[in-house]
Amino acid sequence: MLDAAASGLMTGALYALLASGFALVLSVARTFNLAHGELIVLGGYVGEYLWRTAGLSPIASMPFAALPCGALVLASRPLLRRLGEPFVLRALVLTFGLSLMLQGALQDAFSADLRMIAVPAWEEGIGLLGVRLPAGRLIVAAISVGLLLVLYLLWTRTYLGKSLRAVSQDREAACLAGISPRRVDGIVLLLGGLLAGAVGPLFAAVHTISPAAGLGPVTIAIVLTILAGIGRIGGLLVGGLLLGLAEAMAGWFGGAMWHDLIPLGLLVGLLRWRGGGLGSAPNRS
Amino acid sequence: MSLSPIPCLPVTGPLLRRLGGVGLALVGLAPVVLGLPDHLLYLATMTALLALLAQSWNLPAQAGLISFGHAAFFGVGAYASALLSQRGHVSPWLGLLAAAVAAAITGWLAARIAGDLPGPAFSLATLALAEALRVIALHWIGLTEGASGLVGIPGLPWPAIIGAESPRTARILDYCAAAFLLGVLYAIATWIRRRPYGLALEAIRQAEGRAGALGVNTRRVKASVLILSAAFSGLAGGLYAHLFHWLDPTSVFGIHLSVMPLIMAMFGGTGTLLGPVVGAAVLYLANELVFQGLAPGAHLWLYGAAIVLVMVALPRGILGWLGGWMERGHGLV
Repeated sequence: MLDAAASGLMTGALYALLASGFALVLSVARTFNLAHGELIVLGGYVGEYLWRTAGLSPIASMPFAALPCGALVLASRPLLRRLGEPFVLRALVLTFGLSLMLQGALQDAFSADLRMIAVPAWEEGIGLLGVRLPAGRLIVAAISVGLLLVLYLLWTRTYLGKSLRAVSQDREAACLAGISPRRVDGIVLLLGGLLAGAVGPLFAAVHTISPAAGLGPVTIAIVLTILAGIGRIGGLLVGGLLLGLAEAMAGWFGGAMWHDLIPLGLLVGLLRWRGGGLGSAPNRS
Repeated sequence: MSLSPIPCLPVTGPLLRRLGGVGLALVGLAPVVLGLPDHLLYLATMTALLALLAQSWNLPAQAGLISFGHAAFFGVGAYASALLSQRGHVSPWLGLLAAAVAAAITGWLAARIAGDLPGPAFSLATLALAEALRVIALHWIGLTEGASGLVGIPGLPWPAIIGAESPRTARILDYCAAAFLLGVLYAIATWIRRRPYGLALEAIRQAEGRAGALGVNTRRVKASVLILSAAFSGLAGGLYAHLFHWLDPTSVFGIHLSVMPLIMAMFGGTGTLLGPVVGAAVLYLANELVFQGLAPGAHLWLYGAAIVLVMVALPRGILGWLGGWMERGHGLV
């Protein structure tokens, strides 16, 4: 059971990272990116392809996976810009459509088979504080925490982070202070796309992927974003660890069904508990 | 501020509005009268089934409730009818009734869970509900056989007196059943439209707070419209089970069943009565007759592109666009 708990915590760190791009885009650009999961899966496929053909490890393929996703998000930006009010719901439906298109493209390009990046060295167990874990999980968790730390510093310590925070708090006031919300939206969308793509190879290294696998990560991203609250990167990590632990414990005691039901149940519960804030998100204009 | 992506009520031109019911009946009878070959009859049956689902999705959408989870109702109906008629040896007709009741209960549950959530939160909560039911159906093997699914579900038992001995006649009657249910729902939707109930739906969509202040019991109206919609989605699911004789969790709880009614209704024109039917027919038939030939398996593309097109370029759907075009003086009316 201790092994399961530790492995749950490791997965939780990855959850926090895969939610981070989604959370940033939602807090700053007020866009529910339902295609976030498909972007992660696309990144996963790029990683898998590079691993299969060039033997590139998932870590090394992260930048290559990030680029196409960032480009895709930028390409869809003109569509988002053309949406009328009410923006939040329209963006939700639009990205739903985009996620279907991406899923179709993934199916054509990679077929519907389940795939995974199975790095032999990552399968070896490592003993740590009395529990045994596959090395891959530890590496993935370490990278996740590292990247989240970078993101946290970017968010709190840089001028860019300051303008992102300003726009997420009050678009009009940010405008008055000389920050262009439109430009900041573009930056944050690009950042979200890059993050989603970069997580892909890590996700594919601990989880099977298929064209339809995007729903899982996007559910987790929504759950963690609501749990953490808008614009809290530290909260994402805490929430991710808790979710990973809860899933692992539910799976341990109750079996696979409960493992899968935990994020969905949490999502509904959180929407009821804190969802009020989502609909009344401040107007964009 | 209204949170629904649907524009206001009067979206179809006068001609479309007048022709709505009659035209639907004529088009609905066409496959029977024309004696379509089996393959096309199958497509017509599927179109009617999907139009039924899209039309039922459209009811709560009139109150601004954009569901991402109608697969929940479809799947519960399909499993209820299939299990009762297969294991309980109940007549599939009673099974269909049970499908409507079971789905209505699920609709009530959805209203309890999500009914009072604001726009996007409602959508996400319904998505989670459908996905949770799929996971349960996948793992509750004692009841549902899990991923291997149910096989050998009995078809609809048409009485021999109408000549249902031949499979061909039975297939025509199956189509008629789907078209009949669609007609009933269409009539209900039309009838509701100009009643206080329909106006209450519209008021809730435009300004829920104000509707409440004017004495509309918003919680109750939203719950009842969800229950009504769920019951008809459940009927569509039950019909699906008896027409195809097999099902598994993905085929009846899969996310495509939540996505398709949404896309079809929005593509045709949400807030119109004919829109979901037109959207279902255009998208499904375009996919089956045109796109499958050109690029097999491209259906996800088509549906995704359709919804993107509607959101970006035709926010009122094709009927809304057509109506506006005719009002600008291009039409015959």
